[in-house]
Amino acid sequence: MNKKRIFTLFLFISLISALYARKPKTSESRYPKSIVALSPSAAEILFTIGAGDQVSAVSEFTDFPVEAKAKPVVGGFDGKTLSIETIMSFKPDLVYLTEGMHNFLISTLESNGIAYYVSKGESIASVEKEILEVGKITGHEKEAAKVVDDMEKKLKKAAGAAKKDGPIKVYWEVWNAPYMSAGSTSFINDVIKAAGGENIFADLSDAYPMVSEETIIAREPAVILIPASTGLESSAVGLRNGWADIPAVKGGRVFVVDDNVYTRPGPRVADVVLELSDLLK
Amino acid sequence: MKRKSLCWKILSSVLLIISVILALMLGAEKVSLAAVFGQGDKFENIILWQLRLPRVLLVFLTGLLLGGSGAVFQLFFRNPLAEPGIMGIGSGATLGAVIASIVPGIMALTGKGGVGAYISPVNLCAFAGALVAGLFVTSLAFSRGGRSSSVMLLLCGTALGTLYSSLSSMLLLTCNKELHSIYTWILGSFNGRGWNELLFILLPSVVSIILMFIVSRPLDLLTGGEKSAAALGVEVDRLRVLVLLCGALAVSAAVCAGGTIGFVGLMAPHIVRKFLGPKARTLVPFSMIFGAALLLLSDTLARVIIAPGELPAGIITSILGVPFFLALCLGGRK
Repeated sequence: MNKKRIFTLFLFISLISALYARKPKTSESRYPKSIVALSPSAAEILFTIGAGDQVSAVSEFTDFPVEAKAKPVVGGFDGKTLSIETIMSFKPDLVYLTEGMHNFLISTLESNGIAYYVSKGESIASVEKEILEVGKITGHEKEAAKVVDDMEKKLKKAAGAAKKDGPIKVYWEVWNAPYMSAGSTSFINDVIKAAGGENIFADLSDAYPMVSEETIIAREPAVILIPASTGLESSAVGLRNGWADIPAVKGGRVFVVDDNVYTRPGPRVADVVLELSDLLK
Repeated sequence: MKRKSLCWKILSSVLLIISVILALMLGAEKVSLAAVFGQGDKFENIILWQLRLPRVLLVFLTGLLLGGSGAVFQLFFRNPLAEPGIMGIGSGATLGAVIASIVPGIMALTGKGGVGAYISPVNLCAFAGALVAGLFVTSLAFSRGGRSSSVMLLLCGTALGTLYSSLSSMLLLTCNKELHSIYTWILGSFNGRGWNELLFILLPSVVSIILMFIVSRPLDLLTGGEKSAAALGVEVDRLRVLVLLCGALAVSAAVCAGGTIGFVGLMAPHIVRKFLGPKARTLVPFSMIFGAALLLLSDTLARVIIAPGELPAGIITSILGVPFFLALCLGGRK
C-alpha cells in the first residue's frame, strides 16, 4: 500500500518535472553553448553556418569540415553504440539527433530538461529547412540564409543543365550481395531527381529495399552509380553475368561516387546535384 | 505398406519437379515461353539463362545439401534436434564474411581480374570461416576423447556458434556504418547469386553428397548405439570423421550459396521419417528432395511476393515450414 503511494507520488513528481523540462532552461544567453552533434551531417551544418565554436562534441565518421574532425567524439553514428553518459559529460544544452537513429535518447533528454533538435534529412528541401531552423536556434540566422541561397543557386543551375528530352534512368547500387537499391523515400532518390535523373526503383517506397537483379536488367539504366564505400570498381559491374548488355555498361557510364558526400543530408548536397547533373549529361 | 511408401516417393519427386518448374517460370520480370528456346528478346534471354536458371540450380543444390546433411546428423547423433547448423558452422561463415567486409583491402580484390573478379572475396572468407569453425569445434570436442564426444560436439558447437555471432555483431557495430553488407549471411538470401557461386560450391557439394550416400548404410546399424554398431562391424571412429566432414562441407557450401538458412536441415528429415520411416537409405535421399523442394518454393515466393523488391528466402522458409512442421509433429499419425 505504502509502496503504491510512494510510486504514485514519484510518478506525479516526474510528470511535473517533465512538464517543466519541456521548456529549455533560459541561460544567460539565448543560444546553446554546448552542442553535441550526433551525425556527420549535423556537425557539417553547424560548422557551415558558423556555429562550430558552440559544438562541444561530434560522432564517429564526422569528417567534414576539418575543424569538426578535431572535436571530441561521443561514439558511433549508430544509436546502439552511443553512451548517454558520455553525451551528458559534455553538459550539452542542445543535442542534435537524427530521426529514427537516436529517438531512444529523447525521453532521457526531456526528463533532464535538455533541448534537442531532430534532423529528418529526407529530401533536399528538408535539408534547407533544417539549415534555416538550426540557424535560428544557434543564433546564426544570416549565415544560414546565405548558405541556403548558395545552395538554391547551384540547384537552379543543375536544373537548367538537365536534359530537355526527359530524365536519365539511374540505378543507385547500395550493395550487390544481395542487390539493394534506394526507394522513393531515400535521400539519394531526391538527389538523383534534382540532377535530372530518374531512379529506376522510385516505385518502391522502402528507403533501401532489396531488389531483383532481373528488374535491374529489364529496366535498362543508362547510368549506374556505385558508392565508393562498397570497395567495388566500375569495371567489376560489367563482369557480372548478364550485365554486359545494360546501356550503362555498354556506354561506359558506370561511375563510382563518394557516398560519404552523396548520401549526406548536409549543405554540400547542392554541389553533389551539380556534379551529378554533369555526369548525367 | 510397400505400395504406400512407393506412392509417397513418387509424390515427393513430383513435388520437386513442380517446384523447379515454378521457380523457372516465376520471377520479378515476365519471361515469355519463346525465351525458353532462346527466341525471346535480348533481356528475356539474359534474365532466364543468366540469372534465373543458375539461381534455381544453386537453390536446388543448397536444398539437397541442407536436407541431406540434416538427416545424416540426426541419424549419427541419434538426436532429433541435431543439424549441421548446430555445430556453429553457419555463424563461423558469417564471421568470415564480416571480417572480409571490414578488413581494408580484402574487398578491393573484386574486379581486379584474377580470382576476385569471379568469386567475391567475401564468399571466399565465408567458406574459410565455415571450414575453420567446423574443424575447430571438431578438434575441441574430440580433444578429450572418450564416448561423450558426440554430445560434447553439440555443446561446443552451440557455445562457439553463439560466440561467433557475438563477435560478428561487435565488429559490425564498431567498424561499420551499415549492416547491409552482411545481410545475406544473417537472413539467408540467394539474391544476386548465380553461375559463379554455383561453380564455386560444386566440388565441395558433390563430395559432400557422395559422402552422405556412403555413410547412410552404416548409419542404419547405429540405431542401437555405438557399442552395438561396433559389434556389428561398423568402424565408429571412421564413420564419425566422414559424417563430420560431409556436414562441414555441406554447410560451408550452403552458407556460401545463400547465407544462413536454418530449419530446412532440421525439418526435412522429420517430414520424411513421418511418411517413409526411419531407414537411412530412404531418409537421406528423400530428405534431400524435401529440402530442395522447400527451399525452391521459398526462394520463388521471396522473388515474387513484393517484386520488384525481394525478401530474404530464409524468412520465407520458416514461415512456410514451421506451421506445416508443427501440424505434422502434433498430428496423431503414427
